[in-house]
Amino acid sequence: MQRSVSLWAFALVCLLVISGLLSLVVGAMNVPILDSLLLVVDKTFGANFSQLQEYQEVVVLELRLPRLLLAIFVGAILAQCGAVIQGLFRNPLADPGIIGVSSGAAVGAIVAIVLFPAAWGSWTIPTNAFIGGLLTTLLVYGFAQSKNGTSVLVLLLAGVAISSFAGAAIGFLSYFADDASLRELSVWQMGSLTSASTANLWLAFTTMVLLMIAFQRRAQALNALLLGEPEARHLGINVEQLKLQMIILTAIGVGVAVSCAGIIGFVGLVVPHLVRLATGPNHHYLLPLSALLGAVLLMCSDLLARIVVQPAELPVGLVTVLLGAPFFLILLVQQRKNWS
Amino acid sequence: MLQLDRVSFTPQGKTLLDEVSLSVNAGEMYGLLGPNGAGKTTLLKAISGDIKASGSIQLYGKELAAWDRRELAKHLAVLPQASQLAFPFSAREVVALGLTPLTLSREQAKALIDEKMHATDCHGFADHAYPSLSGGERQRVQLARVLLQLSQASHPPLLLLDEPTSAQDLGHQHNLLTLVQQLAKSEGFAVVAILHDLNQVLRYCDRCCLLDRGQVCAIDSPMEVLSDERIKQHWQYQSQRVVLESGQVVLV
Repeated sequence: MQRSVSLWAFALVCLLVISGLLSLVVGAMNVPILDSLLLVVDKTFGANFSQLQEYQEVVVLELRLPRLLLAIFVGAILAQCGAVIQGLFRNPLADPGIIGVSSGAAVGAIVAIVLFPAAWGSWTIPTNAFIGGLLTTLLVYGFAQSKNGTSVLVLLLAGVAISSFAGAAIGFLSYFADDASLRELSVWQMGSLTSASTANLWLAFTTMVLLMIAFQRRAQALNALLLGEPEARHLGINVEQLKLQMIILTAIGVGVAVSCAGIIGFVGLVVPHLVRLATGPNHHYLLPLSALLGAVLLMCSDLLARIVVQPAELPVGLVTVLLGAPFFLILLVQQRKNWS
Repeated sequence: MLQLDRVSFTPQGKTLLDEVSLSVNAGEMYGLLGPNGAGKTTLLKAISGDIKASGSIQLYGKELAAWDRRELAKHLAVLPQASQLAFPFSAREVVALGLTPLTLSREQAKALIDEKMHATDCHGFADHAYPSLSGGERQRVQLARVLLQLSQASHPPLLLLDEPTSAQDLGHQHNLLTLVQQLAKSEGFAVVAILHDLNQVLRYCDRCCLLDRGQVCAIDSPMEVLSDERIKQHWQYQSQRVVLESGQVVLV
C-alpha cells in the first residue's frame, strides 16, 4: 500500500510539472517554447538565457504563470474540500458544487460585486463568498441531518433547491447590476482563472497550505468517522466539534476558491473518487493525492479551455463541468442499486 | 468497576429505562437479557454515551461524563451490532482504526494489529475489502478493532457487546464468546453483552440482568434468573430443561 501510494504521488508530481510547463508554453500567442522555459530559469536564478521580447515576457510571466499557479492552488483546494465533504457526509456523491455550497459562495460574492463593491477593499469579495459558502453549508447540513444520520436524498435535493435559489438570486442581482458588474458577474458564474493577481495568488496559496495542514492533522479522525458517528465517538473523537471544524474549513476553502476563480464544478467530486480507486479511502493518502490530482486536472482543463477555441477561450468552469457531469451520472448509476 | 445508579431515560415522556441500578465487576461476563423492547439496547447506549440518560453511570468511580475522551476510549469500547462503511477500507485498515485513541510506534501498531487479527480469526481476509465480507466476518473484524482500541488500558477495560453472535454461524458464535470469556478471565475485562440465546447466557455469563419494559426484574447468576416461571412470564414461552452428561443445563 505504502509503495503504491508513493508511486502514485511520484506520477502525479511528474504530471503536475509536465502540465505546468505545457501551460507555460502553449497559448494563443506563439512564444518560442525553449525561451519561455528559460525565462522561468532566468527569473528564478537571476540568469539571462532567454531571448524573448518584452511583450512576450509579459505574456509568459504576467498572464500564463499566474494563471497556472492559480489553477494549481484552486484545484488543490477544491479537490481536498471535496474529499473532506465526502468523508464527512459519508457519501461519494457529495461535492461542494452539487450540494450548493459553491452557488452559495457565488451569491455572496455577487452580492458584493453588485451591491457594495468596495466595502472592505479587496477583501470584500472573498469575505462575502466565505460567508455565503458557510451559510449554505450549514443550511444543507442542517436539512440533511436526521436521527439516522445524514440523508443523501435530502442532501442532494437541498443542494438542488439551494442552487436554484442561488440562480434566482443571481438573476435578480444581474437585473439591477450595471454593465461593469454584469461582465464580472458572468465570468464568475462560469468559473475562470483569468483574474489571477498577486493578491489572489497569495490568498489561494495561503489557504491551500493551511487547509492541507489542518485536514492532514485530522486524517485519522476522518477515517474513524467513516465507521459511523457513534463508532467515531466511541474511539474518543469529539464528533460534533470535528464536523463543525471541517464544515468551516471547507467553507473557507470553497469561499476562497470561488472568490479567486468563480464556480468551478466537479473537481471536488471527480478527483477524490479517482484517488480512492487508486489507493483506497484512507485520508492520510487521499488528501495529499487529491490535492495533487486536483491541481493537475484544473491546470489541464484550463489548458484545454485556452486552446480549443483559439484565439478566444472558454471559461474553465465550462470545461470541468463538461468533463465532470458525465462522470457524476456514471457514479449515480453505480449508486442506484444501493438506494433501491 | 461499572456502577449504574438509578439510570432513567424518558424521551418525550415515554419511559425506556426506569431507574436501572446495577454493577459489573472486572473479570465478569455480564449478560443483558429480556424480550424485545425491554430496553437492553437503550441501556447499552446509555453506558456507551450515545444517549444522555439521567442518574449516575460511573466507571472506576468516576462519572463517564467526567472522563477525558481518549482515556475513556481506551477503557470502554462498543462492538456495534451491524456496521456499514461508506468507503471500501480493507479489513486491516478497519482494524487499524482502533489505533485512533492510542499512541504507538509504527512497529508496535503493526504487531498489535496482527495479534488482534489472529486472535479473532480474521487474518485470512486481511486485505479484502470490508464491504465484500460476510456479516460474521465483518463482526470479527470489528471485534479485532475494538480489542486493539482497548490494548493500552491502564485498568481492565469494559467491553460492550450488542448481540455479538447474531450474524455468526454456530462455530464462530462459540469462538467469539469463548474468546471474550478468556479476556474476562485472564485479563480482567468486564464484558456486558446483550444476548438473545438464553443457552449462551447459561453457558458463558457469570451474572445477568433481566430487563422488561425498562425495569430491572432480576439480577443474579443465569441459573437463578432463568427459572421456568420467569421465562414464561417475560417471553410467554414454556421452556423445558435438559441436563447434559457434563452437568450443563440446556433450555429447549
